[in-house]
Amino acid sequence: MTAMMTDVGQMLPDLTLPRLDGGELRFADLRGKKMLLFMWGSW
Amino acid sequence: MPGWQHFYAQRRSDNFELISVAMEHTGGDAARPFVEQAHPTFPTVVDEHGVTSTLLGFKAVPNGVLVDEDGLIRWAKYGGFSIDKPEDVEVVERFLRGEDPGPSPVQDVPYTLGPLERELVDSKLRLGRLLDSLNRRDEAVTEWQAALRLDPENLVIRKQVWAAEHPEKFHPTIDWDWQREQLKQERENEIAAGVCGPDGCPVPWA
Repeated sequence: MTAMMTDVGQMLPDLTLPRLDGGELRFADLRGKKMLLFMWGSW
Repeated sequence: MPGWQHFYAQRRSDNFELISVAMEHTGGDAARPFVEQAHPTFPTVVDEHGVTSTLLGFKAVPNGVLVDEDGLIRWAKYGGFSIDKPEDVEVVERFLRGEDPGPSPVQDVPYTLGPLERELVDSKLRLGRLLDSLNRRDEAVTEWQAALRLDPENLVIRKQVWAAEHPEKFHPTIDWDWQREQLKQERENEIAAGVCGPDGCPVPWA
């Protein structure tokens, strides 16, 4: 991991995060599709 | 969340995925009631350690990030992104139609961190997470507070500190009045300490 920020026009970092319903989701597995990431917090 | 589920159900196609990213320092259980209420057919992932906020550089939520078929980020709005704002929905619609989503809004932060400062913030966040995972909570909070002094407008970090120091204000319910008062008080202390002025917080030593 690098401290460089990823800006618009750059590649989305290939992260793997745990799914709330179990298992994991890897962003790179969605390549070939359009994606909307919606970040939110209950706080 | 219910609004996005409605949107997703209308536009769902093989070529579009909506991913909800719950920024929850205390784990996925805090997000669960909101998700279960909306019965979404899109997945929610949990970013417990603020990995996406560090990598993408956002300091608040809710956010929308549009990524194209090649994995390129085409548009991002950090803070205030909402299904209830027609201008935000319109950008997503344009993108799905294959049009240019247009320029991204600029994050409203009264300072810019240089690359070395960002690296220092990131290092302190990661060191804090490591210490926290070793049950050295006090030392973790010290690192997170140091990161916050470098990036005082970063609400993602500030709330991570709060959740660690005052877990009772986040579980079982979130005490919004406490948060407002706490933010006000911390801001006053920071202004008094010369960290932040009334116009915002300059980068220390700059």
